[in-house]
Amino acid sequence: MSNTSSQLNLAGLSHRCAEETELFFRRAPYDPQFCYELFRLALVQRNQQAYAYLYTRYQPLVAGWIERHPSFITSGEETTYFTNRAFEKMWQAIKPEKFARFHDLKALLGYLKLCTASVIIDHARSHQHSLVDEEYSELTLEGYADSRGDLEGQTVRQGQQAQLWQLVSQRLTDERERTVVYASFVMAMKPAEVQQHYEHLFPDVKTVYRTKQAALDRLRRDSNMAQLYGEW
Amino acid sequence: MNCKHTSQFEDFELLLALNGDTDPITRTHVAQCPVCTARATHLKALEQRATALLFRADCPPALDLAEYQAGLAASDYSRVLQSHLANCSHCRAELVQIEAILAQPDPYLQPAEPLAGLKQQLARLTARLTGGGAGVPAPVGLRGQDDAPLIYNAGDTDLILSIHSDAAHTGYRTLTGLVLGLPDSDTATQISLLQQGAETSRTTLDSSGNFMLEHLLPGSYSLLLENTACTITILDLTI
Repeated sequence: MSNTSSQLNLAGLSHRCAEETELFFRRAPYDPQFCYELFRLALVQRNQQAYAYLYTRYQPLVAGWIERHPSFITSGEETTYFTNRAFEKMWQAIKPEKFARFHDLKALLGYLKLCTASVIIDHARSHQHSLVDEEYSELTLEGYADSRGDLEGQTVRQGQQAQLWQLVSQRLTDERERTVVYASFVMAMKPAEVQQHYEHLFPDVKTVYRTKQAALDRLRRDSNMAQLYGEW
Repeated sequence: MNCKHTSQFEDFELLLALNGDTDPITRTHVAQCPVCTARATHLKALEQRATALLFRADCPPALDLAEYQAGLAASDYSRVLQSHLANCSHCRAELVQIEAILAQPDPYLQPAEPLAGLKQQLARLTARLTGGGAGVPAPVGLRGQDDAPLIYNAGDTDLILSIHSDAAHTGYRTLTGLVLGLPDSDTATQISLLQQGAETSRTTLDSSGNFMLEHLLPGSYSLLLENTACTITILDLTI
């Protein structure tokens, strides 16, 4: 009689997970309980060894998703970089209290695929940010985390930016100012694009420039903003 | 030397001139006057800095977008994301990318359950490599063939496979195949190529028994032919 997942130690679980995965790929009947239990131990009990077994078991699957993504070839990164980020992201996103939402192995693997998709997007965003940063001659932005490289840095920078945007938007007086600052700096649109996109607010490009400078003047005169973020 | 025009130009006018969005006289002046040029350049740098500080400041994390795409976001947060997506072309573009990766065929996630019941009654065959060449017709449309055809047999079915370089995409390969003697089936035969358990490519067998899989990276694969009458697997196919 075969063991159930609760009767096995970690090594046994890992072994049975591997066996059942092989059955799956041979299109034979398989039992997903062992792999699911490994996930539960890793994500609910934060068991590092279970996490390591899962990584070994599913690393090829995640690598396949990454390598088939059209952005992978031009990313300049190794598959392992994205694979590690995907597992890290799942580890951070599924806290013990969230695990109950995942009723079976398919749901967990589906979520791992979501994490994989999102790390590729994160990398593209980081590249976008570096292009914008390069346009500004002083590469070090005061008080900002370096978003290039690691998940933590990106998360910190996202938080800092959201906080700054909240401060800025509180100081804008009307819809036109809010629109022009949002479109110009948050969306990185050129003045002509802003005018075309928001024609009802800006009859001509000159109005875009004038409104934007009026908003920036107010931010420059704000001592709190100047103290936190320098000259605007 | 101070510019006699400085008092006439507001900041926005200097930027208009610097970006070429104003009249030629003002533009020429700003280009030639060192004071105006320096002021305009400084203002431009401040704008670039503001963009660097705020670029995509209110965009949701990528995983939130992925959860939204998969229908996992809470309903109230979904409405927030919908509202954001309506205004943010960057996130809309990312959502398309997420959709593409989630739509990739995936044997782990589809089908949800192991093949069971009726499908277990079907013929499950593992094809054996039986040789190559003589007397066997090559797959149609074969061009630039690198290696001699590989001939596999599974029951009454023969599979002739050819692997050759993809002329249009350096480093990639193309697999063409001809399948003979396949049992009658109610449905079209699906051909899947799997690597490390994950499907990398899929096509449908045509009415003449031919198929082609393109843009393949060299490596070790398994090939799966499947219809309602049989399933044939070729293990360890090196491409």
